[in-house]
Amino acid sequence: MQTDEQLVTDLRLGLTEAFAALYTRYKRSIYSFCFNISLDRFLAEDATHDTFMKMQQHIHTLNDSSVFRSWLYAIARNQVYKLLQKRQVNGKLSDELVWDGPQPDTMMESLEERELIALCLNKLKPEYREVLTLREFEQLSYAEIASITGDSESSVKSRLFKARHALAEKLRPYYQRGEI
Amino acid sequence: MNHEQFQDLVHRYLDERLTDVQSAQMFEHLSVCSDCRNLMQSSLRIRSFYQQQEPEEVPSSLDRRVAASAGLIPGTAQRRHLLVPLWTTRLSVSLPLAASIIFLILVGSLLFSPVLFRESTLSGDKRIESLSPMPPEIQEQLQLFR
Repeated sequence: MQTDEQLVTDLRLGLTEAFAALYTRYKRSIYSFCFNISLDRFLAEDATHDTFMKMQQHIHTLNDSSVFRSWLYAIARNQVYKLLQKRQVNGKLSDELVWDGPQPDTMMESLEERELIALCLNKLKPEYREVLTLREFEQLSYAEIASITGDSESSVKSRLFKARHALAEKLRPYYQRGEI
Repeated sequence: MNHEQFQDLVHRYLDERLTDVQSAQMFEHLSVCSDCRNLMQSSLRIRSFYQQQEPEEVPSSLDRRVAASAGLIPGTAQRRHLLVPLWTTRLSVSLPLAASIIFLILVGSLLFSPVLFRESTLSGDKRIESLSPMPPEIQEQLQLFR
């Protein structure tokens, strides 16, 4: 299997096989990342599409192919927030993007733990879900996350802590009631 | 231990970078601080949640859109994208074919060069006169031969 670096080199030469290989390799991760931030499958699809088009058009601007993955996630992040902002301007989004389905307080006691965690995650701010996804799901390093978000490593750690704390606060009532 | 110190230890614990001393400090704090205990439990549950999570399935409409936008035809990834600069494209032309093309270009340039074209339109004496400026004595000898 070719490495990312080899595929990036081939893509720079215009080989569409390289584009197809990179798309196949990263489409699920990028789509999941976009969905975890936006909670909207249509928006995630648009953002993922735009991400790979940007990748193809701007691959020549990537000087160091060893950071391709971070570069790709940074593009995806920009596309998601751009589309979210556009939707917000159009009046379809409140200040804070949150889950608009059933609220945890009204959930049945028999709710599975995973479902409850997912529900509470959906109530977090997009930037909290973003950093949790990159760290816990994609298992990126703090340095990689910092290069994606444009923050310092200490800012990433701080935001990650706040995200964990915010989620802990949302889950606290269920722990205390012994529901999960 | 305050919450700021605990924050750093949480990261280290989750990254498995805690020393034995730090670990002892952290668990000592957890035994007396319910807030931090709740945080630690939640963090571990979040980690477990994400570790068991599968990436989302990509809708087939996305595959079709990307293939269309990227200039790909499903199943045949041979077409090149028009936006790729020409100077970065790699041509696959065999050496004999390349040599034949160069040869044809050279022959073609000779056939249609202005000098030969001009000569081919002339005839007889005019052609001789036009070839080169000959000394008068040689031109006289040529006339005698005729």
